[in-house]
Amino acid sequence: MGNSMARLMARLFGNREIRLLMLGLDAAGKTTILFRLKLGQGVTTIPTVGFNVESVTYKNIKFNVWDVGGQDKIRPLWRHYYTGTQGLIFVVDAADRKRIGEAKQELHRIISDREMRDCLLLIFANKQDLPDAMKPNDITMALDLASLKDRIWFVQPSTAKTGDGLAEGLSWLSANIPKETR
Amino acid sequence: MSAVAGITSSPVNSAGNSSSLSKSTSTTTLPEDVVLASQEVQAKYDRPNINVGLLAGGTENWEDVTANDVDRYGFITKRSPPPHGRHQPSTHNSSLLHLHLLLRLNNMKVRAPAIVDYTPQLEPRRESMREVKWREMATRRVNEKTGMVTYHFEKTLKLIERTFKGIPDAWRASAWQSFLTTSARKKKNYIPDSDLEALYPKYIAEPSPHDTQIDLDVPRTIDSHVMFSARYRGGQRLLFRVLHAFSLHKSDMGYVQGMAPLAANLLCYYDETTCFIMLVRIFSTRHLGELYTVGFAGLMNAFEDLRVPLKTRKIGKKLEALKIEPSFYATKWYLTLFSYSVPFSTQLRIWDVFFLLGDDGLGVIHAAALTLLDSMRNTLVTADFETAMQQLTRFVDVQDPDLFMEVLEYEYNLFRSRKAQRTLSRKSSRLIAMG
Repeated sequence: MGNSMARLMARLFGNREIRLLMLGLDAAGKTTILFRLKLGQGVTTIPTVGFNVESVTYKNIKFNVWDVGGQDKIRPLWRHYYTGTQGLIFVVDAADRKRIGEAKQELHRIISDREMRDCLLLIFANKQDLPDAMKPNDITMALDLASLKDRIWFVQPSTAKTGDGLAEGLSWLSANIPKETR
Repeated sequence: MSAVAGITSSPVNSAGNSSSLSKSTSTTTLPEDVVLASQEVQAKYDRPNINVGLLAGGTENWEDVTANDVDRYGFITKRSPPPHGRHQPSTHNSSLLHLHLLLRLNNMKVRAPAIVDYTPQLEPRRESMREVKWREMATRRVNEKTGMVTYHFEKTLKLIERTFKGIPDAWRASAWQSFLTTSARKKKNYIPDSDLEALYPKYIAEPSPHDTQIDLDVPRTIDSHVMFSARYRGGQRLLFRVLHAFSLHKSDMGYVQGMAPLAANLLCYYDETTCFIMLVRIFSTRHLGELYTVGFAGLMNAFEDLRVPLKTRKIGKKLEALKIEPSFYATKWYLTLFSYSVPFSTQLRIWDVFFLLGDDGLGVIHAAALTLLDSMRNTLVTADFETAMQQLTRFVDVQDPDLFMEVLEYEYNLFRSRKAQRTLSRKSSRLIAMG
């Protein structure tokens, strides 16, 4: 989005700007990730009703991150925000084995939407600090990512509380943004 | 209508058994693992001696906190503010000032703008004078059976005027209760307080399929408040119980996330049973029940109403050009009644007026939304999409709640007169058609 002047400036000076939508089940750590990226510190967060938006600049790329509330009842609101999304960050509580099936179902529902057809998919396997957290391989299996065709995806282990893994996630995104949006 | 009829007409009632109050939500139909999960969560909030060491009758946690660290509402101010309150242009008074001048041009009675260095909490004298006035307006009522004292307020012009100025905090609980009870009595499916009181312990004794979800949200609802800072104990325990009971009472919608801040804010003023009753009343008489309907059709209708006044305004046109819908920014405002979006003191002032005047629609909430948009005017008119979105979804640090309420009152009256005009033109067109 943004006006054409900003786009022109971006082309001249090489600044890039992309919109990321961050989704996932409630209490997976989405808001904590958002403010960890923004502030560089952990904060206590409240359940998100509606969403939070923040911009984070990393390696000359401005990431506009939309963090949307995750409870099942408020998921019908998600599709209002799909338009214009270039990357999807799907956050999973890697220690919540009970709900990993639900997470898989939601993920596949989101990416089957037409508006989300072309977007990159970054998965944060979050809460790696907890004992018994699933590793990226387990997450890949549990979310059935192998079944995804024509989709660029990546599973990044993370601990939002400390910030571990978050920068790596953004790095992967910046390296994989399609050329035309650069 | 008899008490029993009031209960049985409720949509969540199980079949049969209409002769008693036992409104079982039929435990038997819940799968065994759901019941077990519920019991596991409930047990965490119900250990013996759980509130030992807490103050204020076992509701407040003052460990590592002194009176100086806490504001008058119990929020621990020495700790960091919520993340949504950060990086925030300190205030948007310049835009509000613009509106304020507009009000003066319209010969409305307004005070001189007090914007800089305003310290709303340092006016104990004015507040105590108001307390006297409110005491004079209150009619004391004693329940013959229970001996419980409540106060009633007659909805006069004076009451409306004084409510816009803010209910003195000492009278807030009584006034809100009076306003909502008055509205509830007019409803067809009115359930008396005594029946809801009897239902509450029954709900507490039952498992709820929403307990795991509620348990996830309770510790993160208000992150720094003396009532809600001890895990599983004190206010957190009460919040869990109220939400648990409410999820069973509204079993058609169950627990939805915006409910937690509503209940927590009410718990700052009421015991758990009364808090539960107030929550029921807000949903039945203040249109929250419609806003929260599954799929949020009611919420989207409310946004259509908000769009009407926006259409003719510069801000509205700007947002339309940016393709920013009310659902992008106002969802949180409407579902939580401005929790986390404005300072608590301002939020209470909005609730004061909404609880008094919200009988016939969301006019007060629309007015508050428009006032917030007014306050962001300067930033929004020049903003691009992303800047506008960030501005709109942020906490607005209202520096002068009185000024905010004056603009809100102005917006509310505009909204009402537009509505009246629409009704009038509909009627007159019917007249012409008949003639």
